[in-house]
Amino acid sequence: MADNTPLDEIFPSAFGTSGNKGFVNTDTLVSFDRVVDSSPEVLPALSYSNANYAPQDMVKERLYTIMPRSAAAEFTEDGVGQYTTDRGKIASLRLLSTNRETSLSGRQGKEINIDSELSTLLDDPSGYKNFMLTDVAVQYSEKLQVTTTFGDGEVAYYFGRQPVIFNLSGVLMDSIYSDWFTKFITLYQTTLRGSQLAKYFELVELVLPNMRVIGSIQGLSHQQNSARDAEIYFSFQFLAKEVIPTSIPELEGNVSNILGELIDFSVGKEGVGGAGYKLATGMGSGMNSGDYSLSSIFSGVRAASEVGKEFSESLNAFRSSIFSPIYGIISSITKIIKTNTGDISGIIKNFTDPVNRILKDVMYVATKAIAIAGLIETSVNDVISIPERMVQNTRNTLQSLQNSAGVISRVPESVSEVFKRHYKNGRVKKGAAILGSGKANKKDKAAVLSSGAPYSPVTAYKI
Amino acid sequence: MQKIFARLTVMTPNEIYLQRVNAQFEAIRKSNRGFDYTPAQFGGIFGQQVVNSSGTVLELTEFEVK
Repeated sequence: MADNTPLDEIFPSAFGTSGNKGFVNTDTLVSFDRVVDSSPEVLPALSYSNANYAPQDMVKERLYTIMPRSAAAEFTEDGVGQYTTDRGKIASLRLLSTNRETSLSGRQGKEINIDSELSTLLDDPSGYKNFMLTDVAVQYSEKLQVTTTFGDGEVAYYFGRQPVIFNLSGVLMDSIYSDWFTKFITLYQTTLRGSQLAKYFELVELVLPNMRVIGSIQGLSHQQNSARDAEIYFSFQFLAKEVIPTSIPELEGNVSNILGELIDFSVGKEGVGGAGYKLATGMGSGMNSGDYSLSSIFSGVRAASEVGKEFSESLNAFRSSIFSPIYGIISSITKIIKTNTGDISGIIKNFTDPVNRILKDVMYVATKAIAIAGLIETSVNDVISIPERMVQNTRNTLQSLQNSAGVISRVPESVSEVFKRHYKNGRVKKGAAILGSGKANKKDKAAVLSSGAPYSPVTAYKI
Repeated sequence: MQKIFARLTVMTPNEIYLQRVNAQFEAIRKSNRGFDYTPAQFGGIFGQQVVNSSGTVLELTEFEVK
């Protein structure tokens, strides 16, 4: 696998001709031993010669990167090109009209005023966006007649393309903040459906991140469910008259910017409002999504133990979905609480108990236990005194794993913690320790260096 | 068969970065050999942020279980 050949010699078409581009085609292999004019500072570290990380013959191993189209939407910060980390533009609808006044007149819902929606559809260059499109499916096919002949051949007659029908589906919010559903349905009834479009000589333009589609809507369906009544799933069929793919904007930054974003937490990130907030999104009962600051997540009027209790409850609820790889949830919440309360020691138990229960569950589902490795480490990273059973559970979990590999990180035990544990499980017998503290019945104090400051990551570091 | 290798490491920003890069490579290597791979998470993004600046010593346990 030792391949030092520059990639542009192997895949010449994948790379641009400009010398300062790390790559042009975003889903190609990127060679980090490639000469880059701007000499990004972080690149040499990828070739770091260290036996702990890569054997010598793997030092120049290629890294496979795939960047979505949205990542090319760059912005400039202090004169340096950066890439956005959001998911890019959302789908929008526009109304293509031959006569604006005709299009606006006589189009009102019975009880709902859609004036502003109509003018957005007609006049706003960015279009009408109060819907979330989640799925797009289309099939292109030809009108074809195949006539059989004598022998092995056949005759094919092509008569042009079949009608192109897009099947689109998504979500309409129906909440007190987002009155999307009624507006969209009213727009459909009065404007967007094919009959109305034909009546007023109009077409609809659907703008997707990677194409524009011009045509008419031939049907709409929606489905409501009482369990999630704020989200209404809908689908519609779009008869496309014209399909115009849009190309990806050319990347203008350089590789160092992309890598820098991955590891430099200080770049444009502030608290949970930045990257941390994004991490928190979608964690179910653990945290709410929303534009919260650190101080407003836990308002500070509640005692730390109460927060811990609340966390314990939500973590128990979290057990059922624990096998999805959500990384860092426990420690992340731990950090937030610690930041807000200043003292976490009183609520450690609330954090470790549910985690231990989860570990026990995992014993019976060993093949799926890979997700738990991340959980173990996050749960113990910030625990001031590591419970003995956590160490044991970590071992047991490792034993129960199958076909798994990885790295678990945790705060190491101090010498006194190790002794304490060994006393408990009988590996170190009474009187065997080198130094006692003078109180023979205080076994946990008998170990060397145990009677000083309480254990913490800092004291462990000094030891 | 188990391979478990634990070591104490001072978590400098450079170390975290190297761990991140290592995780990318290892994920490809291990998955090619049929293993599920869990990279070191360091307590998620907040944990990494703290570790990044605190010089904490962590015990990194690399494991490979068949």
